[in-house]
Amino acid sequence: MTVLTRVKLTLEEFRARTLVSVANRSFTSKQTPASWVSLKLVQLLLGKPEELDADFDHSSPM
Amino acid sequence: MALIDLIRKSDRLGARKAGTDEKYVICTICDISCQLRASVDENGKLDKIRQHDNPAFSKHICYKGTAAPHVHNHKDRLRVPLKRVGERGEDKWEEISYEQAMDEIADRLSAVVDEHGPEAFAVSTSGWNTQTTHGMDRRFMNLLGSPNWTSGVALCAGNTAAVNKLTYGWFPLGDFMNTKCVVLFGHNPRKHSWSPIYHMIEDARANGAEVIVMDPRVSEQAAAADLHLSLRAGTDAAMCLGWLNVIIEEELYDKTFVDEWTVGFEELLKRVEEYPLSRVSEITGVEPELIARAARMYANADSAIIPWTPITDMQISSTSAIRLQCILRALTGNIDVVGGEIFHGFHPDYIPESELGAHDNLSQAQRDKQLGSQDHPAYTYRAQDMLGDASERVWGHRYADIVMGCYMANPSAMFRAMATEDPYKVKAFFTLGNNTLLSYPNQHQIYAGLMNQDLIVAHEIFMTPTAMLADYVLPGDVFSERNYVADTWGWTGRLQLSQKAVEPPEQATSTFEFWRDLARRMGMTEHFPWESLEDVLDYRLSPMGKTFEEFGRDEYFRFHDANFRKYRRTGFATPSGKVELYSSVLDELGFDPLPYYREGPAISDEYPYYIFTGVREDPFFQTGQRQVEVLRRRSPSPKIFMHPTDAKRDGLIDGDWVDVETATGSVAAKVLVQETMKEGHIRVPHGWWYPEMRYGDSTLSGAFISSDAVLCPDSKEFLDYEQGIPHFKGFPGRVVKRSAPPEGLSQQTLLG
Repeated sequence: MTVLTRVKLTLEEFRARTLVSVANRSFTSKQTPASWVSLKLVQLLLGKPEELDADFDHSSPM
Repeated sequence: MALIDLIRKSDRLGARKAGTDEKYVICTICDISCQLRASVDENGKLDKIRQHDNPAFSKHICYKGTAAPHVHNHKDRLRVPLKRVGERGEDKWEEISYEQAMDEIADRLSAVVDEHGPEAFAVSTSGWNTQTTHGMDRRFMNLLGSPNWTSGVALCAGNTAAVNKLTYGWFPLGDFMNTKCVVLFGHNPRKHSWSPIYHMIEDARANGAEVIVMDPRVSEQAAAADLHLSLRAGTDAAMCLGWLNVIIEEELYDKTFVDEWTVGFEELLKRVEEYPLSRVSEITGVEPELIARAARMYANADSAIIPWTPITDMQISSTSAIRLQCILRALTGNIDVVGGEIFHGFHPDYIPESELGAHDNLSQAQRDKQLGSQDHPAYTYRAQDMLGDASERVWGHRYADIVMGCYMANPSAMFRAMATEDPYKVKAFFTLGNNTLLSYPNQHQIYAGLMNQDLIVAHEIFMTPTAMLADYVLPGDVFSERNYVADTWGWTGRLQLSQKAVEPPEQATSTFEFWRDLARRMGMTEHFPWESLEDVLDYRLSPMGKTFEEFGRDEYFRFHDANFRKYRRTGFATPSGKVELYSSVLDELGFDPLPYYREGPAISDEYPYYIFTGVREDPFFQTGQRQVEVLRRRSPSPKIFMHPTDAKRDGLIDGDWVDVETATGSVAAKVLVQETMKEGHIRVPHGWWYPEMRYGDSTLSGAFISSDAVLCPDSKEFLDYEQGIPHFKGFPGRVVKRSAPPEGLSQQTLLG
């Protein structure tokens, strides 16, 4: 493994750990400043939950 | 747009959390565990199931999930215990109290055990459906002394977990979020089937990942893939050997990892040399150049995953195919790295069912009696006990029962013993959340086994063909009616909250309560001290330092911290501490320690088609939901897929009723001609029966009309050597046009 590859891998691991950490903080029912910020970050990254389309509506004609 | 504007905008997106009248629930209509929100109407009934409010999960929902109120409030839900009053299978019952049912079951089970020994008691269950067992079934059986527990996971994911352990001591999960290449072996996640996997693949594509699909037909995933290899059904192991040939010959593998962390590379090299691309091409029917291109795409990707697939769970070379996937992961350095396959280990904040199962209580003498362990030991105690020391060293638990699949009796051996009393009598059988009759190969043998029982108990939410054969049928609860914290049996590194939204109907119980109440009646009270599901959850959450109530108040989901390349500290949980390309366990058990390809039974003039079964349809999970109108009308009748050339030759058009036949049985279904099918292949849907055909006359709601479980034999030439798994993916059969549809089908079935 080259030094460059090792550095790249370390950065990727750091990024992945950070993502999990931020996501975990957003999964709380109890509001704290940290969880609020985390949820906002998750929403910024992933966007608004899409409305379900008619395909999910069992009253629609198939 | 300034950052603050983005944050303000995002603040308006979606609700913060489930509202006060809503609960977070884990949907168990299928096995993928989507966390959703449940709301209740003014009458206390489950009203709506909605998508998650956190965008991380909001796409993970399908129309089976939103149909849950139609399932949970269904008029045909079982609500009180039933006792058989007619002949077995006659579907005649009297309603009795839960207390009476449990008293009588305990007495009759004790009588069987006293007369024939504890091994005469067998269980088949599907934990994905029942969810709240908390390992109490294994605990009860291990304390009693019976090793004969099996499950649908013997054919689906559980067996993969066990075989993965043989190679590197754990069952990893692909890091979809960060990967650059996804390889699907016949797996076809769709918007309404394995929805989270579908969306994670979509997200991976959006992040630049390439997707390679191996599938005989042009499935939805294959149509969208960067590369599609239309291989002959059941030849996945040969394909993997071809990939390895390219990867090794062109030196595309991770030499450092192979040198430091694997054993058996030289032996593997010799085995791989037996499979040049010309031979692999001849076996699979895929051009050598395309095989090489796919192997290079996989090996050269910055990171890559081969997600679990049911396809390699169910074929004659299953053990080798699964091990070859493990070996590909290892040789390309995709083990426990970002974008690769993550070894989560047990969640440190939750006591696993592997502990609650009390496996240490089962004596060696009783382990030795586990059915199937002598001929096909891979996922039985016999093989998995050989990993116990290593598992304890690496994972902190001697028993790593990942996905419940690592200490099972072989189902074919179990049903054979029930039917023939060889090698010993099995005379009491319990089935929980598992429509056993339609869920394993050789349905006729299963039926014979069930008819030869002194005691059958079913724990179900609806009457099923299997439950119709029982002496007692107990009503089960559903996901909106119970509290739970799911850890996916150690696989996915996450804890998910599921909250009780409504009360279960009348005398419906959880499987936890069933086993606890039976245990207490049979002298095991001290081992079952918990008074409620919440007591068990408090105990299991004790490493976190929270009660269930506190966990539910504070959070609804918790990922295991992301740590990578953990093997550098602990080694792998195998006897050598390394990735065993050459399996020491298989070697010691007398099997080929290296992976290989074995050809399935050949087609002939009499049976000219390759049949593949076990295929899911979007509206249903396994044998379930056919009685739920809003789902049934999406697929009113069973349909086989066949290629236009084959249909034309056989004189068939869309909508014709046919019998798909093998030497062991036939399936009546409608024809759907599809360009996307591979010529010479027939796709048969899984698990069909007709709840509307309930006549009380031993026809078992049409359990033998369209069930794919009759088609594939489970004689030796159809079974994988190491696990005893049937060859569901490419066995010989034929298609015969019917002069008329089967009698007794509803207008909906006939017209749909």
